[in-house]
Amino acid sequence: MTVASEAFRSVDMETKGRIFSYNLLSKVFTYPEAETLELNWDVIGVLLKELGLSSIGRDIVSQNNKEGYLEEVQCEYTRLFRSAFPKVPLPPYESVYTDEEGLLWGKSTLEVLKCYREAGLEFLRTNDKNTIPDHIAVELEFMAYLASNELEAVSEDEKRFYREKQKSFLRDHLLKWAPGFFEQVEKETKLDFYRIFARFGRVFLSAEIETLGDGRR
Amino acid sequence: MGVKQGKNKGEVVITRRRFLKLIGASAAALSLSQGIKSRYLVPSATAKAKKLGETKTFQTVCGICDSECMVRATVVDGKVVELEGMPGDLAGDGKLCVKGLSGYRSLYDPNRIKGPLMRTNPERGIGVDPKWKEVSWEEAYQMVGKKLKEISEKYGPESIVCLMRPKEEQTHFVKAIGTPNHVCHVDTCYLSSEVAGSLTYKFDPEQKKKGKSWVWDYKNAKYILGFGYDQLGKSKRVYARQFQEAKDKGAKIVILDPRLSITAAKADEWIPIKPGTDLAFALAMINVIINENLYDAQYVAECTFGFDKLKAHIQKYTPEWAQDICEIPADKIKRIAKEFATTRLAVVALHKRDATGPIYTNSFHLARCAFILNALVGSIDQEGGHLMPRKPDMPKFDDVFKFDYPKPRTKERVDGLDKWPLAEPFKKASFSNLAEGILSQKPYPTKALVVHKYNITSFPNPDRMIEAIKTLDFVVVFDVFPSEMAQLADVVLPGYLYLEGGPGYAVRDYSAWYPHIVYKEGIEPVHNVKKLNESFNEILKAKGLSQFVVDWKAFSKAKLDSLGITLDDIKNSPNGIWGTPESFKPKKEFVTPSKKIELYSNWLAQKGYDPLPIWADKKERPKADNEFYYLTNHLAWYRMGNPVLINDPLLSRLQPENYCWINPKSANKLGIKDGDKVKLSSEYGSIVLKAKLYEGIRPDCVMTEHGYGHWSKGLSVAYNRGVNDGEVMPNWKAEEKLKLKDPSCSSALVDVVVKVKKAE
Repeated sequence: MTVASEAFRSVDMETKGRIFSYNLLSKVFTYPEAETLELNWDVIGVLLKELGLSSIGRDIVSQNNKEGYLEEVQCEYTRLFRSAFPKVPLPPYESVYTDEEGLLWGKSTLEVLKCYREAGLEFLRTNDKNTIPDHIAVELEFMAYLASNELEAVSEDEKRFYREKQKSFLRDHLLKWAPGFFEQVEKETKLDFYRIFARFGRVFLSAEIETLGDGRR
Repeated sequence: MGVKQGKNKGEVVITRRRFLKLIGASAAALSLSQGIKSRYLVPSATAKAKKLGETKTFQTVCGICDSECMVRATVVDGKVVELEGMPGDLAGDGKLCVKGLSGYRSLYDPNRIKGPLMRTNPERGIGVDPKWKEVSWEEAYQMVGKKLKEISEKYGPESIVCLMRPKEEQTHFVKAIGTPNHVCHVDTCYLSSEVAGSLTYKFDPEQKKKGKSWVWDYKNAKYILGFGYDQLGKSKRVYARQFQEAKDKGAKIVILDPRLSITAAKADEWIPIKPGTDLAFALAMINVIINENLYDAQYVAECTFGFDKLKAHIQKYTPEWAQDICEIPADKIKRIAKEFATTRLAVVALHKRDATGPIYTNSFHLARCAFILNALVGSIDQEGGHLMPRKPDMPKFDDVFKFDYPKPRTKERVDGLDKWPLAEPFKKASFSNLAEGILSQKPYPTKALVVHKYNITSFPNPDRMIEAIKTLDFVVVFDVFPSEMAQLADVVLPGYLYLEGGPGYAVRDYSAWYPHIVYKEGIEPVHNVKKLNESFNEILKAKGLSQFVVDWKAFSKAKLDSLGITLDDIKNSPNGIWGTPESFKPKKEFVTPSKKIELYSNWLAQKGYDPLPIWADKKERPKADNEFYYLTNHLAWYRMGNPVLINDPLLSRLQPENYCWINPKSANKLGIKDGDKVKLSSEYGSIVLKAKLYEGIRPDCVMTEHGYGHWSKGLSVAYNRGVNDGEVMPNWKAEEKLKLKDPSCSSALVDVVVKVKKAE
């Protein structure tokens, strides 16, 4: 695989890969609309192959155009993350897993908000179906933001700065709950769509530990 | 919550670095900007300057009970972290009860409904997954509008039943739909005492005068008598604090109750009365007060109607007659009657679901006796007694808007309430008749149900109501939590919690003396929810009824304009604005045919009911050792089935399950020990719960608590804790209930006998 060997030589390439992954995951863990299914399956196909999920990937691509598929994905998203009978299996908010009370808008929600603000970002409630700052999709988007700043940084110091930010956010927030969350989604979901992206998320985050360190080193 | 940290399972064989670079390499082919799309986070020049820990407070009104105590909420970084009473508030006296203090955690409950939901599984029932799809509000409104239109055109508007309280928004919506079926819960709550009180001094068949029929001024009372009355056990601060004040000032408190309630425990005298015989006790009190000339002759002459008829009628109800029924010595009845009539000011106090509430088939007559006793001692609209509410003279909905509502094609209702001419005008019933009405399809079939904030678990014999709902074509539910009712819906429309939204004002009519207008604010809603009146407007539009869209903001302003005040004026008056700034003057004229307090009711006579209270036994009495009277209690930290409190993780620790309270003597006879599981059965259903041995309950009674037994796992805290006390309660066929000749259409909520045995 020549592309890959070429890639090995470039840290930038790696960072681009990370940005792409965070963005992709942020997108698929946001409430699905028609554009959610318009993914770059050429790229994803390569990844799925590496994960040993090629056949499922092919199925998804073919289902993608099936009538009613979007509704199926929407129902599953609603069931997993929003409102379900008999109860929501996996509320996608950090504080539910990391705070004593298990409620929304907990201590960790505010800490996450603080990280966004320190980076000069404001959380917008423009998406009706996601109004809380420590939602998985927002935390993932924040990582993509930090990584793209690293990529575009003009000095080594700046690069290092953004890399440190990524390490600490990963350590203090995403790694505290997202790996377990993805693992549960993979088990709980009835739909291949979420199964492969949950698997993707889980593997990707363990790759992140390897790339960035778990923050302790 | 069960997510554990991910494990390195090793089943993924690729090296992670390679994995990433592969992505990078593939992604490199793309323009990266294509991949980056900020959905949630945008650069902001001011973001960095915003420090965490930004603390604000706002003023609002507690939305849990109708006391509407003023609240000061503390908000840190947009999150409500504490509620406290507003200093100087005249309703709550600057304090909140346990319910009021707990009102904020539910905002952040992960199981709260976060946006409109649509069912994709056509099958409906307990344990059947509706397969929700979250949709946009527009989609939800179109769906509801379209379905209601179809059903209305095919089966007539009367086939739509609206299950909601009779407030202005709801009443308008129901009228616009054109159905006679505006069904409400109050026949299980207080309708017997409301109808009895209204007929006695304030009955308005047109129901133009909305609001409370009376308010209390306990703090100035010197003698308080209650029939099953347990104000202190209910933590309604506006009255609990007054009650305490009266006691501190030396008032004598006498409570008749089959069990030692919290109020009974604080009383000077507790009389453990046999259930349903309070009526005999009260009739005998009237007899003594009249025959011994202990009544307030001047007040009776000036303010009441029908005294001579009452005097003649009451002769047969002597204390000696009553003692055989209620098993309380005649001398004791005489003593209490005498104390009551000779202490100024004495009052019979009433509250929801006490013995005058709709708990027995004779509750209505007892309620009438209570008002008559108050009239005889001159405590109606007198300091210390019960007062006619003074409300600010604001325009009513019909004064501001002139809508040309469609005339319902029939007056007949599914719950049969039209057969109760003196209860029907209140639009507050009938939960207890509804299931049989729907199931019988008489007088016509019901096809759709529109529910606002009512739960299945609040119905007596809820299983019948679930059966009824299963027969319907379309169910839309407004709720904030995935209640049992929401689980049965086709569309769920989530609304605001009371700490969200604003600014605005509340008009409180529970406060003694004069009600007042208070300012309220709230936080931005946590989720994608809409206000009820906005949803009603949108549904009416989608149903093709745009002519009934209401400008609610204009209505709110019109009310203030009529008083010559603005919202800013209210905001700048931290303790509210008095509605009627004149000193208290007792009323001498009342809203009845005689313009007096009617001891003899002209309305009752005209509609063919007994115009004077009579002795009528309750429906059922136990006959064997294993048969018991059934009592229920409402706990101070819950408000009916309100999920805001029921699903609260802290409150649930106060009493994790409900019990069967039973006297040790009776328990011994049945071989039941404290903590044993016991089964309670009536002809309507059965429940199994743990026995709690308690000396303070009559040996012929058992009691349990309301607010438990939830089967919706969406209420993750309340789920599967205890049992629903309603399972053994009676529901009614309207024609059976009519035979009771109760003008108030009462549910006789606990007029059942339960068989008790040790469960396996």
